[in-house]
Amino acid sequence: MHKKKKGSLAPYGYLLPCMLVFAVFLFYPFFKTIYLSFYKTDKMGQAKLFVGVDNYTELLSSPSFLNSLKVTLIFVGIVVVGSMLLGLITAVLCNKAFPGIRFFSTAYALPMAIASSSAALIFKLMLHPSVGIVNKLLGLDINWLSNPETALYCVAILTAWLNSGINFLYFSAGLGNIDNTIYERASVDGASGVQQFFHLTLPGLSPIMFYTLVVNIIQAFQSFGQIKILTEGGPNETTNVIVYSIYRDAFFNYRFGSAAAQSVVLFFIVMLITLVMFRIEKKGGKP
Amino acid sequence: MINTKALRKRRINTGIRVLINVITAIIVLIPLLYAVSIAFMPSGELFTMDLNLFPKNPTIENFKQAFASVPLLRFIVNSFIMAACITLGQIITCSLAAFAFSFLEFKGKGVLFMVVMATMMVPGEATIISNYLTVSQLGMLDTYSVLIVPYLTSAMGIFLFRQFYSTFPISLYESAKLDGCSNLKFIVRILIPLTKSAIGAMGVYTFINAWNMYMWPLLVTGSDEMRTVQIGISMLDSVDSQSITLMIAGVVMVIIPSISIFIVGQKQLIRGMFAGAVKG
Amino acid sequence: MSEITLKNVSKIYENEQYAVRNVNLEIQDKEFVILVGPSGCGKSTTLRMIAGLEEISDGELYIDGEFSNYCEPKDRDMSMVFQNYALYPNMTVYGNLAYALKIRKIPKDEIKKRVHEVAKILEIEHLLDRKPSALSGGQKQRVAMGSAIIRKPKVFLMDEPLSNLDAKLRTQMRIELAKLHRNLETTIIYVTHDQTEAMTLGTKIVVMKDGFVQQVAPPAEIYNNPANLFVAGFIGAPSMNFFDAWVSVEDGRTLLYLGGNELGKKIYLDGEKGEILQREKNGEKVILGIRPEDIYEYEEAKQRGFEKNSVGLEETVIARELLGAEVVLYFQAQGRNQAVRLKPENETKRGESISFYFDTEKLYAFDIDTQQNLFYKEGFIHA
Repeated sequence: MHKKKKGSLAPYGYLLPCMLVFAVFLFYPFFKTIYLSFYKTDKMGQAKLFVGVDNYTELLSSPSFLNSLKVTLIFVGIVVVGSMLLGLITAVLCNKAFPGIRFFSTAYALPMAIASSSAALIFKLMLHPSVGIVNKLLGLDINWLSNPETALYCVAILTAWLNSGINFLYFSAGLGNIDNTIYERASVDGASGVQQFFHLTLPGLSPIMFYTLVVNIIQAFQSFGQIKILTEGGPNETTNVIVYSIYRDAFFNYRFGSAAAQSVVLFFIVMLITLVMFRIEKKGGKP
Repeated sequence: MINTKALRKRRINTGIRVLINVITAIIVLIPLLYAVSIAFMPSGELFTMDLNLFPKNPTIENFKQAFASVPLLRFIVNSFIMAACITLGQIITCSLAAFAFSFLEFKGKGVLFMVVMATMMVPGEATIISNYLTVSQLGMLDTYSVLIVPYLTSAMGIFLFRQFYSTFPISLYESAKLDGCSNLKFIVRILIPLTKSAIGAMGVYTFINAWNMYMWPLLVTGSDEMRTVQIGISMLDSVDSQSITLMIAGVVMVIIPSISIFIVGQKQLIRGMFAGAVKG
Repeated sequence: MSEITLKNVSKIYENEQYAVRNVNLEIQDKEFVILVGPSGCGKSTTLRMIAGLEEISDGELYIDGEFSNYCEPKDRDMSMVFQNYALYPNMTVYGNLAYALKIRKIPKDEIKKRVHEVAKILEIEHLLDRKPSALSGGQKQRVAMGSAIIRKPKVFLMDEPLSNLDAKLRTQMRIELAKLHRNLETTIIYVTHDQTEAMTLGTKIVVMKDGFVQQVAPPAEIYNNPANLFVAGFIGAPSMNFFDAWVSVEDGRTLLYLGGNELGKKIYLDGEKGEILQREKNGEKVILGIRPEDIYEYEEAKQRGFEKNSVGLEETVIARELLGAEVVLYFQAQGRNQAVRLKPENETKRGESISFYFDTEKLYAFDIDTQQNLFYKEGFIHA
């Protein structure tokens, strides 16, 4: 009987370490961020003056923030499409055994091991207007990162490259789950390679495709290091994604209240997209 | 004759496949290959109008200078300590929690698990400001613990381990109990050896992510003694524009550890990540 | 019209290993050809080479007289049923049935008509909206069969299509397959490891082992006139009993000593078979074969007059299986497991001994080195 009593508390002991970390560094700050978003703060980040939803109304009427929203959506769109496409192409290329497949699959997954900051520094050199390899190879003279028309595409392509590595792994696993004999049957049935890809491969990937899409969207929203290093939100705020805008408001302008409000908006956008996607998946993907 | 025709056809097919892969791999790897090439290039060679893909006079001068101009070794050690502690900590806290969620019965289990899973929805940016304010008020800025403690657990890790544990029958736990095995002993002696591949996968993934962390270390470290490599190498960037090759040498050195761990652990990573995840 | 000819076809893998060696085969229109053999004998590889799924390493394949080694699978006008059914998981049953027609750009109305036609034949009309994951094994099997017949191809290829079904369903599908073959009037090439399926379905059986074709013949001939020891042992259940024996001559009659020495049981073998042995193997060792149904106990042997030809084999029964219409007794002799099929009235129990007599007219003899059937008759029955 003694044992039973002890048993009733012990399970919580195993959860204590992780719950403690979650409580202090996730739940508490999450609610504190919401709380801060209703206040004006001092330079130390102390809530000083309750302003209600003023921070939010200010944001929604601020052209800078609206620009951030727009930039973020374009950025996320390019990154998600680019990284998933690259991951899919490379996974399909490695779908059948051939000499050197191990080398190639390592190469395609490799970007996932590289830090955004390291990659950003390399891209900075590659895009360097006078000595960069991109201008030299293309015979152009473009200052990619200070040109408002190209800067966003540059950081987006870099991010797509970074994120493609793990997508390669996801898609490879998805392809591995497709029964090989259905391709044999299809080739006897008369389907060409292209038809097989669209009729069998893509639908066969759809479960993992959905998961990968959600993960990629969330990940793309959080890109920071490469923007900080390559463009610092510029030129003309054309790369000022929300995360960078939060960083600048909080740690340069010391407007913690406004930054907190932006964090909350970001959270709701991500949550909304995720929920909508789950809705679509449930409707469309019934087995 | 017929035989050679079939053989040739197969060889051509394989050849085309390899060729497409070589081209794709070069495109994917170009940033890295280029970085390695530049790292060995004397800085004078870089500034020409000619196409200079490879150094004419390879040198290791850039690496030497990178070490001389910033405390790169210190950064590397810092990153190692941080990433290792985070990895070890996550493995411990996540396996403990996953054990409780899979083998023990207690009140509120379902709700607590939902709460843990819900944390995956909260982006880091939604908490980072408050976290910064918290640690600065606690006077923890510029210490190892501020780099490590917030990342000592992860919902994904708990989920991954629980997926793995759920493949074991409950009778595994029950028979261990009958043999007089305590819970902790069960975890250490039975669960951990059985979940080596999940631990390996989680270890590789967590280490690489910790090694590559940028925003949090940027905010909470100020001194050279505490900086991690990712922040450290961006310091090389701002020294002066003539030192591009030196900066790239630094980048190459910083990339080497994470790539090595990735290549060594790749098989583990794939097996562990997808054995549990894809089924669920 | 569809004729398929394989000339010296081989499959060699990269490591120089042969999966199929020098197969020569002629398949005529409307035949039901069965490739049968133990696992790893090359039967599936042969089928896959005919389908175009596997490259032919050496030799020539002719389809309707045309050299077709390099013909793409889709251009061969064949359809195939796979062992695991290979249903497209993301399509409904309707989609699975219609797929090959859709690919061929057949008008929608026509597709609809044919899907319903086929679904009716196979009794799967009520399943058309389901996904394969919601089907039972037997239903999946029917859908796979339906997707194959819907196209009305020249040739059907079937790779162990019944092996994932339970015994009862397998028997039922076997009967339906035979019916289907009669109704469709097309060529079927069918791979199985199950000799019962081979015997009941085929109009022509190809027995394979280790990549070599052992014998090609109609079922009755395969059974009654096996080319060699392997075919004799592989076809028939329980399989043929084998005994070592020594050939000698006594007063002009052929005398066989079981056990390979003069102390063994004696069997007199008269007639043509006796002459062959006397002529070719006098004083030598051979392997005798006798099917379980050609062995009798004393009473019945006496009625049939077999008891004069041989001395009864006195053996202890080690197992007894009552199958309803017959009883199978198992015993050990010469270190081999042997079996006899007797009338169900026989009540010999395990552990008891019983004496057996052979119907010597049904004896087989095999060369000890080449394992060829010494009584083999070329062109015994014409196909």
